[in-house]
Amino acid sequence: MIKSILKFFSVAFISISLTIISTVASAEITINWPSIWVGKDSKTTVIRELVDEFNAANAGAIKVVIEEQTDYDIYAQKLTAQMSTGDLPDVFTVGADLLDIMHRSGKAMDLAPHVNSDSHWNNVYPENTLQSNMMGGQLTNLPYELFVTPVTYNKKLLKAAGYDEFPDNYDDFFKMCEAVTATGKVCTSQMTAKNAWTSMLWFSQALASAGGPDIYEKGLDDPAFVKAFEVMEKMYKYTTSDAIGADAGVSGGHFLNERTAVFMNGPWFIARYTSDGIPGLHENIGVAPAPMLSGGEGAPGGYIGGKQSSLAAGKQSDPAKEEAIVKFLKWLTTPENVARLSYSSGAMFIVKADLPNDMDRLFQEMNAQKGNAPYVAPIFINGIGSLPIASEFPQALSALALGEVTPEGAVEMLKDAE
Amino acid sequence: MQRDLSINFYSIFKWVIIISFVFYAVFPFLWLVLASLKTNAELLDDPFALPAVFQFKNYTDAMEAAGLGQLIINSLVISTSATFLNILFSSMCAFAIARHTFWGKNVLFLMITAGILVPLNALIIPYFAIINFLNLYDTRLGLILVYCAVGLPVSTFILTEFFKSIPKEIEEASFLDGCNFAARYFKIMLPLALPGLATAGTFQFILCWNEFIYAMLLTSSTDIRTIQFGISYFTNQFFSDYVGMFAAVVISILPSITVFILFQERVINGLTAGSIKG
Amino acid sequence: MKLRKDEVVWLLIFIAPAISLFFLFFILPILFLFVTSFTNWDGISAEFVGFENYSKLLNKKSFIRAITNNLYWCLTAALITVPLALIVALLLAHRSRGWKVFRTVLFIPQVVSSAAIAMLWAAMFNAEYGLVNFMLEFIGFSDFEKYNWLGNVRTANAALIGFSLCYVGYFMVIMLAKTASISDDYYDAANIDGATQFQKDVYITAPLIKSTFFLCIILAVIFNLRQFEYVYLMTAGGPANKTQVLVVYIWNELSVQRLGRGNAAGVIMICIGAALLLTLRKLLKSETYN
Repeated sequence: MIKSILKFFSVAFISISLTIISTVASAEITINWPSIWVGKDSKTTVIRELVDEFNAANAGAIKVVIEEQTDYDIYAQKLTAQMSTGDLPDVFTVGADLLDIMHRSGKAMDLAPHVNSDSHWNNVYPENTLQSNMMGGQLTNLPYELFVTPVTYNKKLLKAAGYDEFPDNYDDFFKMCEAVTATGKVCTSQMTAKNAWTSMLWFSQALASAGGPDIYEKGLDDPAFVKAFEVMEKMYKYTTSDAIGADAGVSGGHFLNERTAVFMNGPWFIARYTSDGIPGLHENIGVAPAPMLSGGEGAPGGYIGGKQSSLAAGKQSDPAKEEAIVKFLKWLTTPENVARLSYSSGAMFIVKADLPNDMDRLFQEMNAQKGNAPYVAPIFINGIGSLPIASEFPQALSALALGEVTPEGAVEMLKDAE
Repeated sequence: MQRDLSINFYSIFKWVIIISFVFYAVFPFLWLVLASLKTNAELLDDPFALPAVFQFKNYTDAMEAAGLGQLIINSLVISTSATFLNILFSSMCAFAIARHTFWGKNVLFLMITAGILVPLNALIIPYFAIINFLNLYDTRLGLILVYCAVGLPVSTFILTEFFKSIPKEIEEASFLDGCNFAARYFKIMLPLALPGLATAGTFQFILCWNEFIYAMLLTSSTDIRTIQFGISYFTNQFFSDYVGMFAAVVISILPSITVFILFQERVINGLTAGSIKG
Repeated sequence: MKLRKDEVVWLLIFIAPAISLFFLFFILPILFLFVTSFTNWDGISAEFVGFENYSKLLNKKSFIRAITNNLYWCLTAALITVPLALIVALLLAHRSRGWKVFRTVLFIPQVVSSAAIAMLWAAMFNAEYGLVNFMLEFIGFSDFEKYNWLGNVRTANAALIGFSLCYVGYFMVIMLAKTASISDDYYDAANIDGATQFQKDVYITAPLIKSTFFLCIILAVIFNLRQFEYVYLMTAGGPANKTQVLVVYIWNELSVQRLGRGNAAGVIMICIGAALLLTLRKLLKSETYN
């Protein structure tokens, strides 16, 4: 008992003294960045290098400290808690779904005055990008990473089923699925857990193909939604038996182990084909736009994608600190640095970057196809513009896959979510 | 003869039950250790097969990559302090409630135990605001206070039950001897309720050790963070390094098991040695 | 025991820390929960909407499903988990060879974080390579090849509850601790009368730990009401919202910035819990306090 009391008081004493010491120490400006690009994320190494280089170049004046956020969901919760009751972090990244609420909280730094203070940002961003990102006359976020999610398929498995090229329409696609199943492999990877990512991407492709890239403005009553669910219903006949309830690890794992022939994910996943796939997988992979629905409003070669993450900063009362933060943000958005990030992680950025010629083959194919695509439609969870509906999607999908509802019923479930 | 037979059936029954439950409880952990010695590719291919080579480096990688050493120390400090405070406060309160009558006693008890019903996950924003208000964000003390408070309903509930079941005569005897309130608490009740204290303490410790959401929410720097953060290090939005995570989990289990063994053993052993009579 | 006048100060000192912490971390947040449940707060702005959140919630199939699932879990906990724990506690109370080892081993699942266990069991239930299917085929039930336990409407709930049996250890430890305080005199007397082990368990040990047994039932019911991690990590309430439970539902509402409605769900959950708690205490009142 006495020992525990002593232990407690010594702990308390040590903690208090440590806190006092650390606050007294620094006179330089510290910028806190709760970063999600840590741990096993593909951008971790280069981000670390960029931060160290910046700190070295500004030693004694500015110091950027990364606070590791390893769980994205909790990071999002923390951010919204900070928007509600506290202050936003000095520098942070924010996903597309939180941009609106972040702006409305009024706690994000307005970067508009700093755009015109020098020509840096006007130079590195494509024309009009910054203007279209402004909300209410303020620029509260800098678009940064973008993504596209075409089909990635295993050429070897398709060839074994008799297909040299990836089909460009769904009728041929499903015939191909039959052929692949006959060779003993499973055709597609699907999943319904968490946000049903892979399946949600397929859904978005079908939707854009059926209703065109501006389908989301037409509302849930548009028949394109039913058609897209019909495609998903068929899709689930050609997937693994654990697809319902599977999460990204499981569905990706099947493709990485060559149990499935067709997958869908973004450029950040490219490195994993090599690091976690069976040997030789990377050479066998091809990239293609998704198939088209006949009679739909989409065009062949259409891509889906969108803003992956944007940079933002919390409002500051100290002008010196604000300058320091802006300096760091500009450092993160130079073409050289973005090229380094892209090269090592496979991520794509909105910022103009001079990419070296030896970028990964798959990345180059995705980039080229994106450039040739007639449009890059939003993915469902971003395009639908409603968080409740987006989060109801996995439940509607699993109900559909289990035969509990018809495609029309699945759309009803989405409507009910509001 | 009759008696011998019934003992046999009963014994068989006993061992079947115990072994089944032991299997049920232990098997997942054997698998955990097995899985932590494979590579990710092997794991996704067939989770239950033996690995080609035992990947002990998963453990060293885990310790280094996530800095598990420092995190374990943080977890120990925070969990021990929170448990100590929690048991102290809840036993004091339980003693008052279980052994005395005073105005508002029942209301107090019902209120505190009703706290067990509260869904902690829904209180993220209020807790965040309170901790910020007290300037305890990213401090060990902040987490300690939160954990101590969060465990109060369960601990108070358990301890009140234990206190109530101690025979009144012992206490009344001391009362006649002139013991005051505090002396009764320290000298009589605490020693007698040690199994209860150990039980509530173990649960509280485990709660603190395993808690994840608030540990992430209310801290940001590595010198404060707990072991659960270390485990989440191995996953992110799109990817999980399962084998690294499992290695980290195995490392993180060891302290909890040790605490359990220490507390349960010491206390209950001491008690059955000189058993309470009457 | 009645309080002496001079002891009132002590009483206050003793209950003060608990009450202040409780006030800060429970009363205040719950008041906050209650007040915001009548608004459409999304984290930034709020408007008063009266009972709209409540009526919308009670009309949603998935919310009602969450409530019934929770009650189903509570019932299972009370009728299956705790009685099983009692049996194991009684058996271990024999103090036969190695009982301490068994006690520690059975307690181990409690010590591991729920995330790890949920992942483990999700893998065990996996349709393609899960151990459950493997073992069933091994025993001879070949129909279960590639059966998706957690992905099928009929079996998802059953599978979740099946795995929760490894928590028998939690309550077993509480009851076992109580058996330590049973005086040996009772057993000595029984031995003189020639009682079997079984009779000793049923007629002596069990009745003497009755109060702890009912304590465990109350705790089990309440913990199952608060169930979050396992459901969230294993099925996230799916498939098709069939395994939804209250706290997961609340978490989902909070994640889509519908904080007003999420808090209303929280209030409803607290009311249900309070009703359950009161009912249980009334039913078991005579049993718990001797």
